[in-house]
Amino acid sequence: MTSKRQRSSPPGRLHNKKSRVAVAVSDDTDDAEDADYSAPLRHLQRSLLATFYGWHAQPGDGDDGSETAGTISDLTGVLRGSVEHGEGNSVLVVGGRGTGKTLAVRSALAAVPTRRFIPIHLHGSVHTTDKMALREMARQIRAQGGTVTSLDALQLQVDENGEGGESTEHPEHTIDIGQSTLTALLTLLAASALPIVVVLDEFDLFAAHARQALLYCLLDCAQGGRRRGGLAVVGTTCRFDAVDMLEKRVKSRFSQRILHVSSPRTWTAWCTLARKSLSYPHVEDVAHAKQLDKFKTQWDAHVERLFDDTQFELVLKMLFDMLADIPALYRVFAIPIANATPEKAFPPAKEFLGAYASQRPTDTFYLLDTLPLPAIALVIAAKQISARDMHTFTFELVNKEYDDWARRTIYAPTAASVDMNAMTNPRIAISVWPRHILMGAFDTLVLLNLFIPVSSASALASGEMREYATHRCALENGEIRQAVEKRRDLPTSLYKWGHSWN
Amino acid sequence: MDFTLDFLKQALPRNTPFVDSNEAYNARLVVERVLSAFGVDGDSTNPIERLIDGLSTLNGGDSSKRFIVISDAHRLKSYGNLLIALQRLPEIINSPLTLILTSNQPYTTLRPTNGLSPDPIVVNIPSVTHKDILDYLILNRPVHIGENLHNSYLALCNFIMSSTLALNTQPKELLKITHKSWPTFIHPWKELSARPSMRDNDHLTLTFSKISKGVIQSINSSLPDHMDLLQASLPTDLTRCAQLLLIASYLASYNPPKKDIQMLSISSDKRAKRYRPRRRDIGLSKQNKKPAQNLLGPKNFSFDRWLHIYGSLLHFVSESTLTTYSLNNLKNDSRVFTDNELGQVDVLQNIAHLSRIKMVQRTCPSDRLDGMTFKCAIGYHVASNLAKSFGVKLHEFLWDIS
Repeated sequence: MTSKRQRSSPPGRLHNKKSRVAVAVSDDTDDAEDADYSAPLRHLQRSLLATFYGWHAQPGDGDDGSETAGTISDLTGVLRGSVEHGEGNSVLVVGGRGTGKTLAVRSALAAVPTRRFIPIHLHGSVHTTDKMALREMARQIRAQGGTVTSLDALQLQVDENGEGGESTEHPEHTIDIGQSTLTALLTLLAASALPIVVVLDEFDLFAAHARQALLYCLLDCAQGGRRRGGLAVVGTTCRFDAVDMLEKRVKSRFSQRILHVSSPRTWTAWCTLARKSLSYPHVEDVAHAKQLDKFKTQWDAHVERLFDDTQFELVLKMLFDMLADIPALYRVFAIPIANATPEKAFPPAKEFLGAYASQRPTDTFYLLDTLPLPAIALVIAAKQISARDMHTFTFELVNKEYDDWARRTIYAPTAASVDMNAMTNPRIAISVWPRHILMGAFDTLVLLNLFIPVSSASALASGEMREYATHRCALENGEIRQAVEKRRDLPTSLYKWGHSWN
Repeated sequence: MDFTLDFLKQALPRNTPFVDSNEAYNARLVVERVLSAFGVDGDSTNPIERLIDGLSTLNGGDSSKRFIVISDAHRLKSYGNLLIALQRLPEIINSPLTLILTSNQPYTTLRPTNGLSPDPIVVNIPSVTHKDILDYLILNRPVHIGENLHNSYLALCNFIMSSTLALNTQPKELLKITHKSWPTFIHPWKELSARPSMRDNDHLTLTFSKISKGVIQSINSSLPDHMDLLQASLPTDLTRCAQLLLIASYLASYNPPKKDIQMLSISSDKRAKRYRPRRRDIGLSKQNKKPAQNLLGPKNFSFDRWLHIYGSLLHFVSESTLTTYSLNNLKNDSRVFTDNELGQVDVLQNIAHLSRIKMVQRTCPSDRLDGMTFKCAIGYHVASNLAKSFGVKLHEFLWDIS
């Protein structure tokens, strides 16, 4: 029966929507009848998701002849020099956000397996001072088998003296980070005889440290060969002028070896990357070897079908044209892969399109769908005020604007109470909301960041009345107009008011 | 959002830290909550170092099933580099760890500048539909409601939804209101064991709608009732002198200084003195109209101006409520009375007291003694009520009333 169905959907008719459906049905039938795909699918999900979430580099990354491949190859050469021959090296990897700098460094580190070494990863955005960076280096060296007893003494010394404190008599193995970054660093690096590779993510942020002491010391150690075991300093940055940020004494110690990484620049390369990201990983599972082979064949065929699908192509094109950002591609791919189940192991192109739509940067606009009506009324009032060239407002001002509109429109006294007698027709009755309800709605809008405070925080803290705290509206006219059109539960008068400005 | 968190609590491992950033209001507290949930501790005093140090020592268990959930994550923006460190944790500690951030604001509002951390996968939680809310209300009906009263409960749910949904879309709050109003709703139905017909249910709804003021009030009670707050903060425990000073501060903050003479001088021709052009007389179009000061907030005023307005007010007060004003007995000569009042140490003491309790806000540095400036910190309703107690009408002294 299965073979009949497969014959009924020849490959040549795959562009036909009906035939695609038929293929999907045949796949599902296969699942049900022949195989339990849970094990092969689990392998696929684990491997691909780990790559997509950045937990590990894919084996074989960078062997595709691209610019990144060249970078990885060069970087591997540099690292080999340090690890195998005890050289001191420094290199800077430059590339935009999401182009794969970290991936390139990881791939290069993974490609130096011949001898044991200690990789140390530091992040400029996390280790914001030299002291933090040195402590993190100590932690990582210790975690990888280095002996850093002197660092414990160092920690004590720093705690006692403070960062800038004078250290008088140093006991043996005691160093003062505040006084001598170089000494501290040398002690650190001497803690293990193994080669050390220091990876500095966000290299430009390290250049912002005081006197660039850490960079100076690291590069000085690397350049002068002051460490026998071998030392490589690898920086990654997205700033193309990162080297210019270095002080002269630091720059002169840098080897000026700069490697570039970029996103795929051509459509073909982008497609190749996408195809490779979805390819079934190499897995050795003897227990499920037969199922694995079968699933792999079907998965590869499914990926081929995806690349023939116009919807999938549209997703890839939009990603390529707008971002060409590899993490963005991975984020889009991760959702259908993660949602796959043994019953629906082959996500169709539609799911990739949905995933792309969900990952686009969203505006605040969608928040308007869930706002209570008084809050919508205040947003409209704020826009009415801004139409008169007043772009900041107070609660009192929007309240007055709403109050005036309510007087004009509803022809009802704007007493500060809800008309309880009209509860049988609540839609009309609650169109005039009392002041405290509007105040609650105003607070909701501030909480959602749709009304942004302009008053300084100190003014509010020192007792400025919140009715008179100035705010501005974060929404554009078009967004409000769209939201008003979308909301079906708006009273007609409010709907018209939402359309009445120019 | 509450439902999402409830779901996560059921679905994730028991040792998963759920951090509410309203409760954990700084980086140190967030890190403490995370580390204590995992049962580890870090060495450093720096929160980020401590987090990394603590989580690096994590071992045992299924490493792929480690999660951290942080609600109201938009607050993390003010916690320094904590968000970046959290988002880069898997890289730093070299172990898979899933960070789940929930917020009612889009990720763009908390994204670190310059793309310092990788963007997360965004999952938009759709708003709860009316049907879902109704289903939720029905599912969580009070246990003592029998099957025979199911349709009546449904009628109540429909009524509550139709009358309150415009103001409140919180299912849990609506459930509370429904539960609270059920006894009142069913009260006219005496035979609780019988099944009401459709017409009976309509009758119950109609009866309830007439007495549902309490329900609406219960909704409103969850919102800050400004009028109640004002009533509560009415400064009745102040001295009469301080109360009058408060009125004077209100006038000083909301009247233009140039109009003080016109508004507060004693003249035989009161009508001429009190003439104020109406806003439509000014001749400005609505497009260019400057809003009234009572919509924009109080302005700063000088100490001397405050005292002079206070002195002028004493004339009006002494004319109308002289008998109630019992500060001293110098009532015969209003000039002597006023001058003496202005010079009294009591007045200065009251000013210091008002400034201390923040009813009048000092807007200059505390070490400046010359040219001190203040700002009124009470609203129109408080000032108006105070003026009434002195037998004067506040709006007669205000230049611009909108």
